[in-house]
Amino acid sequence: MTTKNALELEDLFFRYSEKVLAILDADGRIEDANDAWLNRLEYPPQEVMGQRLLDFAHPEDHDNLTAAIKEARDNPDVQSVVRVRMLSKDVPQNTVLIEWRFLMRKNHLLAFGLPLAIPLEDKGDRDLLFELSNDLMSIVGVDGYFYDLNPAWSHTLGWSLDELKSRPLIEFVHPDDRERTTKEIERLGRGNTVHRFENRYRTKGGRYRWLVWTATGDVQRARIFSVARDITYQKNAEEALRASEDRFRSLAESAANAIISSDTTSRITFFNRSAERLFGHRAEDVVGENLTTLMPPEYREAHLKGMARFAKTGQTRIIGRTIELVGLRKDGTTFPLELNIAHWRSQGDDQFTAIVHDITARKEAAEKVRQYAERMRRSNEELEQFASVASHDLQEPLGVVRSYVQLLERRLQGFDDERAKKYMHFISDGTTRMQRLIEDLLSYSRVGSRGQELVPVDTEAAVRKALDQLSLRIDESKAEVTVEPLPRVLADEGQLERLFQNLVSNAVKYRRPEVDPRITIRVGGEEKGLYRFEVVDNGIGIAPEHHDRVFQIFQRLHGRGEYEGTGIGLAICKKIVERHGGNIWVESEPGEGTTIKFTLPGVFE
Amino acid sequence: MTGDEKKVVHLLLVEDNPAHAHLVQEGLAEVDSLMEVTVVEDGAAALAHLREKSDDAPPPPDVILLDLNLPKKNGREVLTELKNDPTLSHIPVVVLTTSDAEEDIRQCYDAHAACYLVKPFDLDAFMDLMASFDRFWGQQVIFPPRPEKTVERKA
Repeated sequence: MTTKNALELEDLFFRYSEKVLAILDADGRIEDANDAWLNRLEYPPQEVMGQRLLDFAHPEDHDNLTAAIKEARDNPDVQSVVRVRMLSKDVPQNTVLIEWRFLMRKNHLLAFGLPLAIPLEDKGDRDLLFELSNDLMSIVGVDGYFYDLNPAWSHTLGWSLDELKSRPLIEFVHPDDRERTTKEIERLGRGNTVHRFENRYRTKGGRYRWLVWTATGDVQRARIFSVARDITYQKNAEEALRASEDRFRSLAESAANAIISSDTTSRITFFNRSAERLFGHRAEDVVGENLTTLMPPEYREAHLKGMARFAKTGQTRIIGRTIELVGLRKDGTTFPLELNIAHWRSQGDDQFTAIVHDITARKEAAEKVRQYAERMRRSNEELEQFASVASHDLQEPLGVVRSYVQLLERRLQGFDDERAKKYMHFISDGTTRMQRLIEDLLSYSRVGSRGQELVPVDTEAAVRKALDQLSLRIDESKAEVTVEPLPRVLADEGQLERLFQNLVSNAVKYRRPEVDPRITIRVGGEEKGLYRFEVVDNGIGIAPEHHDRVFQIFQRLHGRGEYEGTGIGLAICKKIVERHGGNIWVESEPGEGTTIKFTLPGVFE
Repeated sequence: MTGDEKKVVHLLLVEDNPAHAHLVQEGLAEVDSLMEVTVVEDGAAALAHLREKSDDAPPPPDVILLDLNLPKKNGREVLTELKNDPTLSHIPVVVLTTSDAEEDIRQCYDAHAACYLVKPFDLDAFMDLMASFDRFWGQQVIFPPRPEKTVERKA
């Protein structure tokens, strides 16, 4: 290590040592001092240089210090040790006990100062209490001046103690609190005591802090002895809380909904304007009363039981949920209401707040809807009955006509009247057709009126039965029917069979003449509990503009000569599917086959 | 009376619609039935006919063919009345009607109808029905005896 480096290091050691270090000349004057002088004694090193070490020592310790220094000077290489109370710069009453070691080297006296914890016996305990306390202790004269203050005052307000003592204390008090404070000081001056007096004091920075006082006046000494505590934080919190409560209150007061709060004993603690309107009570009349005041008698016991259970077990059936109950107005009338109850704790207390809605209107509307639905249902039933009866009654005379036409035909068989025979044929045809229409209509109406309950059904079995019914036609047309695995559905089994029968029958009927029909029955997917089935064929297809028409009753897209049938097949399919809660639609292009898709409720275990 | 003789069965047809009544007769004629048919138009006429006691009274029927759709009193009421009358209850009543409703069928059997036939709309089917009606009721059935002594009829 070079000399230069070594010197640098030594310098650093000197400067930053925790010990209070000084280099003194022969007279005991400080030639150099380290930073510890500032940290420990509040003196910037520059200030102490040129002074005698003695100047910073407590007068009572001067003799000892001088002796120690002399001893070190006279005996080089011997350390002399002495404990000295060194005066702190900022608060001269504060002393720091330092154990000095002196060592004479060349012409310099090296001083090593080790700060010691102040032994309590060296300083008055009570004085220390005064000095070290975080509470703001003070002795105030009845003349309104601070006589004595502890350092806590400076720490709290920023003023120096001198500054605080220099003016009447009232000048530090917030203008709004001055009158009260003055009165209080007068009261204390007469020998009274105060335990919780709050006022605001101005800080050096211009802001205010809240202090709470405990003080006693001593008339003889004309002094007031007091201790204060800084409660600015609490005050602010209280203020914030109050402001927040005010905000909530205004909000709750003015809310369009009725809001009612109660405590654990079911006493009403809050009753807003809307609640007044709703129940007909004034807030001041019901706050403090039991919640049961607002309930019809038959509901009260249940409420009290519920509250008791909640108090005991914390379990509740109504808190946090929306429930319907009945309310009792001031005038004795009752009305249906809906409650949303919230539970919350405030400062250890349980509170319950309910938002109350009068649902009379809603209930009436619901009742109207229910009645309407009932009327609709009955009307539907009647319509179905009507259709059923009507078609049945229509069949009868038709049957008679047909029978007699046939009888006539038989009678005329021998005759040569071709025209008469032709006429008869037309009549017969017409009646046959009408009969079929009526049968189909009957069939259609019976989908609803004779529908069975929906139960889990094996779809594949239903398809097989339907195909059996059509086996003749399937064979005749050389149709190939593929049935992929099909899931079970909730259905009326007979109607499910009918559905597939109609669809396959159509697929076979409306085939392309030169192409063997190929029909596939499969399931395409599932959504929201409904399976989507598909019956795909390679027949003549249906033009998009007709896609909706095909499901209407008796809608036929082809002339009577081309394809037989009354056009009710798909209408019946639609009615069946819709009765099961599904939908049916067609995807098809002319010449490209037809896919009929429909949804049915699935069975899920 | 020898076993070869075909007994004439008297049929009382209660039917208000002449077209239907005629059809029944056509049907029976078609199979050369030996049944003698008397037609009455409603329940009242039927009962009057059945209760006639004068000497000119027609022979009481062996079987009654009853339609349910009758004016004034409906067929079921007539049936009930017939079966409640001890002098008439022995006569078998065959209901022939258009309704295939389970309710109707059940009620008729409950009221002690002997048989319930549904009238088909198709002529051929109807003819077949009449043929089988004649085969059974006109030829095979042995009728129960009347409860009271028969009045000897002068030939």
